[in-house]
Amino acid sequence: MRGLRSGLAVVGTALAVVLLLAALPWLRGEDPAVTVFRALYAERTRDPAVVEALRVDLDLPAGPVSGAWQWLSRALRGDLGVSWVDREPVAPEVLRAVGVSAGLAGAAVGVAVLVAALLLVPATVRAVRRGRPPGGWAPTALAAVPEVVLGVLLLTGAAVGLGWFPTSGWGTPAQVVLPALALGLPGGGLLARVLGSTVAAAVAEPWVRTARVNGAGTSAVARSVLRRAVAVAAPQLALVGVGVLGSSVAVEQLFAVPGAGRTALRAVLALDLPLLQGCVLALVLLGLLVGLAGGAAHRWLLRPALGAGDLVAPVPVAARGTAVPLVAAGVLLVGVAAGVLRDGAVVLGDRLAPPSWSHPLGADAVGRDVLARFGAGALLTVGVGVAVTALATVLALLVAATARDTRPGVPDVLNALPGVLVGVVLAAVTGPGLLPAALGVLVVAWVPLAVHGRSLVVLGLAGAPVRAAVLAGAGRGRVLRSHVLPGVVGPLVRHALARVPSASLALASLSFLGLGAATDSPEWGAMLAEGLPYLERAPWVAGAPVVGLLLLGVVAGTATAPRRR
Amino acid sequence: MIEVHGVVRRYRRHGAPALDGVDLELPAGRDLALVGSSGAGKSTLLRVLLGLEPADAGTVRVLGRPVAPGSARSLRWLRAAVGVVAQDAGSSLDPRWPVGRSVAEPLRLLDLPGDPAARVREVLTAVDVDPGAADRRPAAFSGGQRQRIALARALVHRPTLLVADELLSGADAVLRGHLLALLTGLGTQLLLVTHDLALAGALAGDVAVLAAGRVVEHGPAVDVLRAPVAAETRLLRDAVLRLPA
Repeated sequence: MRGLRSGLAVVGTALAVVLLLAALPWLRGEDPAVTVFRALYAERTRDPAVVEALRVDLDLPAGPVSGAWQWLSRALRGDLGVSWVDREPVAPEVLRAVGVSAGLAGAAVGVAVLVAALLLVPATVRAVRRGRPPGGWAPTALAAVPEVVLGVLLLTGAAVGLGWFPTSGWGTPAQVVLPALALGLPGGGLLARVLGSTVAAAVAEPWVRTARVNGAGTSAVARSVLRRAVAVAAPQLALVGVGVLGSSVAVEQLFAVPGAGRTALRAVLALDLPLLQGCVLALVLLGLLVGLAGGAAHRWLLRPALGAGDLVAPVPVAARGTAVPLVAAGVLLVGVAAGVLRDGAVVLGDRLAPPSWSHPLGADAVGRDVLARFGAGALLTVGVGVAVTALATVLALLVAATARDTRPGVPDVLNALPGVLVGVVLAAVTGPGLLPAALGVLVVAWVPLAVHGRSLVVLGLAGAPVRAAVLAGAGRGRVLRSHVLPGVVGPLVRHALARVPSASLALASLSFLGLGAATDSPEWGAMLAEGLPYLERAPWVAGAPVVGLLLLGVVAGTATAPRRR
Repeated sequence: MIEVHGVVRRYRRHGAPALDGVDLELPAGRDLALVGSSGAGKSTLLRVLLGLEPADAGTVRVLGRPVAPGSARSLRWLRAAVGVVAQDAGSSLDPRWPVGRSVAEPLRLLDLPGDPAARVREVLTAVDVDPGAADRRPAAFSGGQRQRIALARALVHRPTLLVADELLSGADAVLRGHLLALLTGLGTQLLLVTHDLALAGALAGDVAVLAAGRVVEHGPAVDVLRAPVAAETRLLRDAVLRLPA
């Protein structure tokens, strides 16, 4: 019964996502024919005759229902319509772009697996030999670097500075290296982190000691421990894959790789909605497929009927007693405080001035003080991150309060959608802006909190105080309010605090893509995009947001969300 | 007080039912010890009796009214009539609440008239806990104290029947004697669920022995202990440890 309900929720949510995508051209609250007109002729005076001609020409249905139906029934036959801009069929273009993206994602996953193996295998061998869980800061440090920032650093160092690799394009093996590294290194760090915690759990299991006592060799035991860790972490490995798909939008844009992410972005900016629908459909299907494959691998490797509720993003748990997040947050705070007090006025004479006493971090392309903009941007980047996370926490609490068991439901499907992709789609509906970008981040940000809250609620409901209250005459609402939720709020808020930086980072990458804060805004993502053209002449313009985002990443990667045991 | 007729409860479609046609009557005012080894169906019977689980067949009546799972509102009369102390009595106190608040919870839930604070003081005194410590949290009390506080909570709304599920099985021998004296001195009708036949003898009431989902023996404690009829009762009696004379 419950299994059925859970299955229905999962299928229903997936269907709802596809239906929303199908109805995308109508969600703007504007006649699609008018949208096409604007896409083609920008702000020229609207001629009703031309709009009608476009409607007939492009075969645009009258309403969202018939439109969604038409799109879906054609999509099932492999026909994704024609582009609104150049009238070319969308399907071949999407197929080509997805091929590029899949190639990049494959290379990135290859890098990630290699990095994770290099980090993890020696650590596991040491752990087995000493009988203690593996330590090490390398995975955390790698996972803390935002992909865009790493991309910019690689671009500056290996392409612009040393000239080892081309800066952009796709097709030759040399062009694959930098984007694959930008995507794969943080992915590898995350992979090693997730696997590392399962290795720590596996090493502590009694059979390891038994095997050692019975004379099993280090390598044999290490192999068994690793196999077990991979089995447990398979769903999380799939989520790393989904994360790579999401981050690929920004990395493809940075290195001008003509993949599905960059094509989707181009489509949004050109209002070419059929092309966007095609690309997003392909990426979402790929993401769901990877997620399902991870779950299936998990069940296949671990035969016992573990609930698919394990398909959740790991709750961030950092190494114990580290001062790193505090130090990073402190450095950030000092920089921001110094910047907020400064004057960021345009002084054309100071264009691209290098760092000096009057401009400690240099000046940007129109002569504004970079440190001042850095401070102002922090308030935007971190402030919106805090607001989004606060809303997400409330939402998660409401959803968790309705939980009856930890079977997969709505959150588990949304978990497979990369946040940046949701932001891209929302930008197509509302137009780019800070608010839709924040909404896009919110759509995904509440999910891991809800999953965590759900397990806490189920745990609380099973507790002795609740059973006693029920026998004293309390109903579900009463029990939730007085006994369960007070025990959920604390851990959930701590978890949410640890997630503020990642919300800010998602927002920054949307702004970097031109879908969040306006290009002129000091928001760090927008600032980074603004500084890219001057990377060779004035690296300090991009330097300030790079350092800021890097520090945010460190705080996000190392901040603890203590779990109740 | 309690009438149970032909109650069947099955957890799996095939396989042995947890309750296989239980008949049990408990007249008002008479204590009962429900005895059985692990897996005999004691806990299941209790859950059906308290309206936490449905019976697949048969009828359950308490104070003449049929019992079936339902909303908190529809079961209010049952909650008012029955106080329950669970096996893990100590952990049933919310660790975040002062114990006084936990003890007063049934009064608030059942919306009973009177001064809750005064009643809490009264009932804490009755179970031998300092009423002045009511504003402390459970962690400040010993395990035995927590059990007595949980007992106070089950009694605070003056129920007609007190159900104690394995209350004494975790307690050490001295504490057990103390609690037993407390229970029998309350003047409330008792339903004591236990796997220990020796405890049943300490109560001056009836004993019902449950085995494989059926009541195999039921009668005054003295008779059942002196001359057990069912094989299960003899097994339970022989399992009671005695000090060598």
